[in-house]
Amino acid sequence: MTGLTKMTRVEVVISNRDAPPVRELIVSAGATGYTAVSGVSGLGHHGAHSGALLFNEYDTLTMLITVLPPENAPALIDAIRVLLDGQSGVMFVGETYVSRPEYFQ
Amino acid sequence: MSLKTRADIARAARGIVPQWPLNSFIAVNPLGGYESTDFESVQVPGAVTTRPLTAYRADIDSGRITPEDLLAAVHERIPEFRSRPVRVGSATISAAELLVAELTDPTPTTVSPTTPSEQHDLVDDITSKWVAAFLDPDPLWRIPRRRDGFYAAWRHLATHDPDLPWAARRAARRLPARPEDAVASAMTGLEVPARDEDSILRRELAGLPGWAAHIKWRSEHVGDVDLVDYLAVRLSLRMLLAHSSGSAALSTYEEAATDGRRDLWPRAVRVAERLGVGTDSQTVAIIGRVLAFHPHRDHPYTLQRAYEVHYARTLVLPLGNSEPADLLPHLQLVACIDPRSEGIRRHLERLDPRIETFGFAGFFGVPVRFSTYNSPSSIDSLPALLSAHHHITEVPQDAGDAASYTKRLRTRQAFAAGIHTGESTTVSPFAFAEATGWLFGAATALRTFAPTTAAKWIAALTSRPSLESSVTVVEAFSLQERVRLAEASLRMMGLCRFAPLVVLAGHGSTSANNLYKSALDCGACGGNRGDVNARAAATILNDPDVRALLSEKELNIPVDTFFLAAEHDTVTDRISTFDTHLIPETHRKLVDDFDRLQGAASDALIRERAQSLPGASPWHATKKTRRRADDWAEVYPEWGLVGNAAFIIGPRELTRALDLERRVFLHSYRPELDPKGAALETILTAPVVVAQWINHQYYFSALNPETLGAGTKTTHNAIGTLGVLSGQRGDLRRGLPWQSLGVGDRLVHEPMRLAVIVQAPLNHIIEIIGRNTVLQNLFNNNWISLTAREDASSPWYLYGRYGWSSSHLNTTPTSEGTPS
Amino acid sequence: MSASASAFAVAALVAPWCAASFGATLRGLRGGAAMVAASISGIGFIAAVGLAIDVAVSETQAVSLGHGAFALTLDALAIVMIVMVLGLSTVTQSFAVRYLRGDARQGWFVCVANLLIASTIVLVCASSVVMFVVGWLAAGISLVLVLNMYSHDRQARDGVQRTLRRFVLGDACLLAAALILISIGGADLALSDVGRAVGEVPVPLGVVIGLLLIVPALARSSQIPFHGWLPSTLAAPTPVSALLHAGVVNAGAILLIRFSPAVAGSAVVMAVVFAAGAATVVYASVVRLVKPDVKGRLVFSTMAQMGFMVMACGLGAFAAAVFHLVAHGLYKSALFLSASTGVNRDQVRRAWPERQPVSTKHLWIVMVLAVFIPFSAVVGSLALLARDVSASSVALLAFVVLTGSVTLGATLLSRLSVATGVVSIFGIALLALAYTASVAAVDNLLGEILVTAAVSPWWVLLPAVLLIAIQWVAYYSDRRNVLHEVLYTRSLAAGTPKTHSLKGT
Repeated sequence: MTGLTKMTRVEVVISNRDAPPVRELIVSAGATGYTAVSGVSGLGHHGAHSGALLFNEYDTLTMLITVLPPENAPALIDAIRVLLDGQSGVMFVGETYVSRPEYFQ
Repeated sequence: MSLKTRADIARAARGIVPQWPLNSFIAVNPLGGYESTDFESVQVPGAVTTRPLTAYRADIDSGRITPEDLLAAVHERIPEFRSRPVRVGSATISAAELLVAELTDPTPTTVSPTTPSEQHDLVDDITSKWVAAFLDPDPLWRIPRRRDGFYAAWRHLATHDPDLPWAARRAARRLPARPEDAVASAMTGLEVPARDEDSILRRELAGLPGWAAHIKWRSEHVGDVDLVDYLAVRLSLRMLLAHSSGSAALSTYEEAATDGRRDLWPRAVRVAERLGVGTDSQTVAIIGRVLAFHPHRDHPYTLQRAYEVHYARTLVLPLGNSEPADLLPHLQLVACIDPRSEGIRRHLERLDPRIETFGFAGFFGVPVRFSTYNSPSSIDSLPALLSAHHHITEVPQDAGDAASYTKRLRTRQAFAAGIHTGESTTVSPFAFAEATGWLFGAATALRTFAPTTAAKWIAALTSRPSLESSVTVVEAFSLQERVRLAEASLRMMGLCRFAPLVVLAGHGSTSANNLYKSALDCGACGGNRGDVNARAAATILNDPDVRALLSEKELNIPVDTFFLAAEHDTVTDRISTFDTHLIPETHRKLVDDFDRLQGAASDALIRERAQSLPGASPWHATKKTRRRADDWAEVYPEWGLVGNAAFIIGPRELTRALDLERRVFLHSYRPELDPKGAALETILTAPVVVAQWINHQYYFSALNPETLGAGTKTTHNAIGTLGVLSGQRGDLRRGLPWQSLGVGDRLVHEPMRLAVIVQAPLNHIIEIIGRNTVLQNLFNNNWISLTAREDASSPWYLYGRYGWSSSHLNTTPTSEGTPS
Repeated sequence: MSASASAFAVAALVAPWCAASFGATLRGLRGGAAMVAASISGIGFIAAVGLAIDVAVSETQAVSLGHGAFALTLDALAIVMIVMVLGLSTVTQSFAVRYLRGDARQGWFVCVANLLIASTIVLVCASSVVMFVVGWLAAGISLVLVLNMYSHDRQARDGVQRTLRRFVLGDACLLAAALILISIGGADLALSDVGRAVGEVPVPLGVVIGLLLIVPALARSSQIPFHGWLPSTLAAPTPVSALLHAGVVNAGAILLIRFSPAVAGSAVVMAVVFAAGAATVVYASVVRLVKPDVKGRLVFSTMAQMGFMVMACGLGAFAAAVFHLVAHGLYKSALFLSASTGVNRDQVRRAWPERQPVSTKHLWIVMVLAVFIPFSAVVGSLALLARDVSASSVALLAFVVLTGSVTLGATLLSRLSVATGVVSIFGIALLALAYTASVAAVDNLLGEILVTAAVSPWWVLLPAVLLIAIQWVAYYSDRRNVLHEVLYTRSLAAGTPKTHSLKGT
């Protein structure tokens, strides 16, 4: 993967109701943006989850994905861990490679 | 580090439910943050979750709670006691009966409700002063440095604040620049150990719960302030004050645990005496062992459940199981699920048996942001569960009309600006009062003695002129979107055969001088009147392109069916129609017929409502009750959703011909049209959730009028349209005012958790609950209850955490267990 | 004096007492009692209007009732005040019949509010010092009682305490002054004899009497330095505030007018009156700007308006003060009663179109009109009507011109069209005319009030200029300026009543 820069990708799957503080943390952590996928479905710790509901966006799951330089990631990851403590929601952290690193700094 | 502080605060604030401003009042469950835990485990300082024991005792005496209700409640709560016999003395009774014997004991119990100590906090005083100044939506003098944010502005101004001691003012200069650093440094300055930080944050957030809840809303919807800012100010103030008075570090508070075991023996003796079985130690011990399953702290919950069971029984037993009438209706009316619609539907059907009515969420499945013609401001007319994706407005039929309409509004705007400026600058109010006082005096007299005349004049001077227009749904929604919404709506309400005229009646409430006006409007329309959504839905359903695509999905709307937008005014009970210029000539007569009919139904309903309205007299009931819409002195324009207690999902045959006393949300539903249960999932996850918010708003405001309710209207003092204070200072009030719940010291609302009653395939319901956490929280944790039956001929089952159980509501007891 | 006039007068005087006693006896059926009391009040109001017409038609100077120490004189001022107070009371009570429906304290309100009205009427009709003092004290006590309506509420209790403290101080001064006057006269003396009595004593004692008399006036009208009570009275229900702000706080001016022989003869006393009024106008106007809550703004607005009234008294413009207090009473009661219209108003405004941008030409036209029209309207009306308006009343007309300019300017700046232009210009001309005519009429009505030591009308410029300067500062609130920030922060603190101050502990 030549010419690509290593970055950290953080994904959080959380109820839309509880999403605003996560979005706020991502922005405060200095990430330049995030992607939100609303109405994600699946099977998890609390059983199955519906996907999009027709007239309720508030109680569906949303996935927030952000990419940031590895040196900025630990602070965000720690903060999200604190936030998720004692409530439903999961976080995935992984390495990722981007072609235009300046977009993420 | 600073990021962690933000996360700590977000976690501490998780239990706070956002509070909407007054002009888009959204009913919320103030304890919604606890919905993931069991209802009975909720403990909130300053609030109770059940009524006082004396109230239940009075209900037992009056027969509002009967021994059968208590037995049913005990069976539900302790299922193993259903058929366990206990031998006491020479008699054998069931364990459940033993518990009921204790609950019906007329002697007052010793348990007293804990009242929060009214401790005064200087930090609350100072913070509320600054928050109100910062958030003032229409300031005469804007707070300096507002653009820097709340904490930053405060940090600068605090150095001049005479409410702070001199030393504190000096120390304020050294506060950190960023709010998260200020929180961290205050924690250090106050010598808070790391393990106590969370409880300190929670305590600070609980100090002014109303402001904290509003700031949470604002941070998510406006973004100019957040709880980090707010806590930074609070904690900095606390540190500055503590340091300047030389006091020690903060202490965390502890709650005393109550011991339930200690009183078991006297309780058992008391029950033995009541049963007359002798008080020998063996009998007492046996009784005590049973009573141990039902400690004192459980009593209010059992009593509350019995109180609810009683109502549910009277509601469910008469529910019909007739087949739908074959006679094709000549008129159909779709009204909001709101309990108030039940009244108008019932009266319409009574007057004309060939009318068919439906219940559906009052936004008619069309969530929109709406601006009136040519206006820069907008409302979000949709359930709070959705965010606005489609912005619609109006196009006038006639350009000349439009121009004169705008001109008239501009002229009014100019005079309003003149008056506002005359009143509000520093030099002008003196002569302004002298010059206009006479007019104000005349207006006061007119508005007090002739409210209807005054309202007509005021409306002529202020309200928006009429304009023939149509709403721009075609521009805002693609054809596919419109077809999808139309199909979903029709399937959800089970509308599959169509009368020539289908009236879509939203609802709104007219009242004067009423800060809680929006709370009486349509909850499904975000606390707005329902006219816009009705107009949008009618436009979609009248659209030939939409109908063509719907017919491909086996939803055939005949060519001669016309959808008419209307609105039911819940104060005057009149139904007014909209966009009448769009009515085809062929349908004019039908509309006129409907108009006559609704007039008669409206008069009948208003006479019914007048019987329960405070201060209503039987003389000229219709006129006087309608007058409340215009009366500026009226604090009871209508009863709103008082008494709301249940939500019935099923065809109208279930409830037709029954008087449900405007207490029940009614959602039409036909499983035949919804083979996969998709529509049912939407009903359970959206209208039921909105109804539950409303229900719990009433429930907790009624139980805690001073802490979770807004107290009496008579001392309310508004801050723009964002909220009210009681008197001159203090916290922003939450919930509903007392005048929405009771009269004098009598509570009119019967606080009951929503009973959801569904007629639908049970396996669909179970599957839907299984994949929706929100429903698991609400039903499994006893925030609301769910009773269902497969079809009209099946018995009722009660949903519980472990599946279905036979319901006490069945007239003939059925065997236990899960239905196949 | 005609028999009908006496009958009317008796009816008007007795009505509030009857209403109060009905309120007390029928406390059980709250709403019914309130309705009966409001109707009795209405009858009293009709009688008062009848009296006013009767007196005007028969050109009587005054109607006298009772004898000796219990003498009441219903002169023009008293009749004006009775008509206003009973009118306000009728409207407010009718409002409260519905507004306080079901309220456990509705009976209390009916009873005590009528006592307040009854004693206010005694005070405006009193013809002797003792009678005046009795009326004044009774009004003060009933005011405190009515504020205590929600005595279960901590804020309400706090407000009552603050009010009580200031009233006790003010009333003690009034008692002292009355005792001195009585000891000079040897017995209770008629208010018309106060001037003679003060003339007999050495000048320093006269000044002391004057100063003692203005303390209760300033305290009752919430003037600096006794202003601390009015903002803490908002824990009482809205109709109480309407009654208080419209018909009770202005009693200060009545006292100054009734005791004008003892007050208006001393330059020192008049200077103090003027200074207190002017200081309150400026102070309360600033604080009002920073208040976010509707009723808080109304409270400080009242305080400023009362400052304006007291300032007018200091200028010797008693007619202007009376005119102001009546008009302001009507104005403020309407604003209090409609204090909950914010959401309704917001809904109306949502339909308004976007404001149009203002071009330079538009701006110039508006500026010229806004300066020229009000000025010429006022000057024209003066020339036309009121040759006999006093110089100090003319000084206060400066405020009319300013108000006209501000209102006209704001209207036309928002929209300059034939409709807005014609209506607002005619409106302003008409109001200027009506205003001048009314002040002249009140001047005539009050008759001769001997003012020998008024403050020079030029002093009005001082508060006026300060007010304009403050408006300027508030308008440019985005500027980062320490003075601005200090003024804002101090005003905000001044406007927020505190339960206890940390500095004291």
